[in-house]
Amino acid sequence: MAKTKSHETSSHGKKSNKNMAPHLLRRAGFGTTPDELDYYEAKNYDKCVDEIIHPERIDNSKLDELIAAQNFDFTRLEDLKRWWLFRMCFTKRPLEEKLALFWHGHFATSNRKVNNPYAMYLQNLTFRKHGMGNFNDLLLNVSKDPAMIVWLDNQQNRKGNPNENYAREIMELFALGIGNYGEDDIKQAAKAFTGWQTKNSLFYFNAKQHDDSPKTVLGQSGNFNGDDVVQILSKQPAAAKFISGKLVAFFACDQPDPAMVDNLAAVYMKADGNIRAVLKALFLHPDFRGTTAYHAKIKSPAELIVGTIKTLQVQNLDGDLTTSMSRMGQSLFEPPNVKGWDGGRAWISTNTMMERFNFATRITQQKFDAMEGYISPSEMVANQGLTNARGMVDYFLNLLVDGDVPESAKQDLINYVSSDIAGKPIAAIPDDKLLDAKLRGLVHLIMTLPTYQLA
Amino acid sequence: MKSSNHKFSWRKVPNPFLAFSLLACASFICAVACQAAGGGKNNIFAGQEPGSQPGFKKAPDNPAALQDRAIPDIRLIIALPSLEAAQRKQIQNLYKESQVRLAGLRTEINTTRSRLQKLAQKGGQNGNAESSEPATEPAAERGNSQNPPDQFPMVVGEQMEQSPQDLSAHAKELQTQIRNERQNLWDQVRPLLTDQQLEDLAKMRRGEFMPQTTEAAK
Repeated sequence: MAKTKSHETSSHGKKSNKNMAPHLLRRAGFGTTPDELDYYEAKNYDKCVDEIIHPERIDNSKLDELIAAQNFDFTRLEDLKRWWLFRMCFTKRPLEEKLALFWHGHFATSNRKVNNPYAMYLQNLTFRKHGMGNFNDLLLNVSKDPAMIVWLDNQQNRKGNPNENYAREIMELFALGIGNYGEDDIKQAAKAFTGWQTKNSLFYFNAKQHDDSPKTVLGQSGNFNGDDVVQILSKQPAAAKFISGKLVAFFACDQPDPAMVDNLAAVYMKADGNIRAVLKALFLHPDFRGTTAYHAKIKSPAELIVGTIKTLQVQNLDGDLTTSMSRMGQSLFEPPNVKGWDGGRAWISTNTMMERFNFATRITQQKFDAMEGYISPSEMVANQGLTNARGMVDYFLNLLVDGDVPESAKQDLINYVSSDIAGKPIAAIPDDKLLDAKLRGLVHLIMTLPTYQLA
Repeated sequence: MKSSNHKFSWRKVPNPFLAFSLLACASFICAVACQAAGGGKNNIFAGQEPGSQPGFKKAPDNPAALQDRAIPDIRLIIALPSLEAAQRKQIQNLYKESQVRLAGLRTEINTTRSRLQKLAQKGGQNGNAESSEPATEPAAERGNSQNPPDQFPMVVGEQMEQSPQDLSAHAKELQTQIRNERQNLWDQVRPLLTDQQLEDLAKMRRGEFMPQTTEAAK
């Protein structure tokens, strides 16, 4: 069991007087812009949490205007991917997007089978609408979601000839987890979901195909339909533990302390499955604020790309970003299977690391020079009034990795910035071209540090 | 660009050339400060939103790509909730007929592309080939040319009389035929839809169409 250290001690043992806002914003969102960092670091941590878990209080109307100007076609998968990436980058409600991404991975549905981007879009809206509310409502809406019905074959779940696919997955992957139900429960629940179909883009209850016979699910008997089964499942203590465990693994750490999960499961039960309450408890939990979680998760491709765009303030996005994200192993609206993305160490392989490094190269090198709106590193240091190598290295280390690197690495970076192309120490950069190259190189080097791969 | 008296030095390194460096950097500092003032103004992340328009880099206006985007996916029209049964049937029939014609074209284009790819691979192994895909580097920079263009390596057993250029042109022609077939289908389907259904479709493409389930589960 991992012991929780003070949140003021980083993974490299560096003491910090900052609050944990950057950590919170990486986990509850996708990282920060320099302005957001200033804003949240000036706040009390509890207030940061309170703001973040109430996204509905934040005016996000500007985002709608920006999206309307993009002319996305929501019937095209590539546009749909760009729409979501765009939202992640420019929203003022980062938790809304992060939670939608969590539910997308939890209720993993792929357009590869659904073959209807608009249905995938509507499912995504369901995650946004119900994702922070009561888990029962979310589970019920997902169970009636046309994309899910196609994905898990409930269209073929008919009276007298039940298809158990959805009933199995709702127990194993969506609500309870393995070991908390039996085969009979699956068979009985499958009957309850018979006739839950989709017709012309809508949920359709086909009464003729619904099995009205009495059923027994998890020890409860009655003339159940799908609504009843969803309610039975979402009220189980096992569901509280399962959902809390998944939330902790996604937002805090891959191998959470069971005590933390139990603590959050108790919140779930007390709050009648309210996800916002569980998230609040999670973000305020000492383990979340300690070294158990701090820089202890590998960034997902979405976190890496969106976080970089925000931090470096790139506002003109390359259309290839969604492709790059796919090559890193995360193709939005196309999770690999019904279990979703494995995450954790599975994000890293020789191929995906190469893509991560290529992304770092692309974003820091000349490709973006001609793009209006891109703030180059030299502009960023000028904005800060920085005039020496150590200050610049400190600035970018703080911005990109909370300054959480060993002193030796930091010194190497200072030496890099303070030397000419041949590596010879220099007193000052002789021209703006070299300074620009050095600062881009500095950002590139930081982006390829192991710490930058950590959320 | 605005100027600034921003000073720039490396304080943590030996500094024998400080005076020179300060002078040398002065013009750069002005430029940086100027960019900071002007560049940041239009960046949404910098908290100064008026005038900023973040977005995806626009692709060049390619007429074929624009046409592709203008043609809706007929399967989504078939799934429009407001369609009458007769309409749906009629559109489904048109769609199926079109799919039969498209299947032949798709098979042919896949075969053509596959042959082009093989030629490119073969050419690559020999150090020089015209690829079916746009070259990633200018021809002059590709270097290591083993075969001059008139000695393009031929693939034994393939239709040796067709050059990569011929195949590429054929693939483009097939692509045009596919596009025309899709356009033709849309031209037939569009008159079958009511104004309201066309509006529903437009809303769907804008992400504004919210189908309402009317059948209750119980």
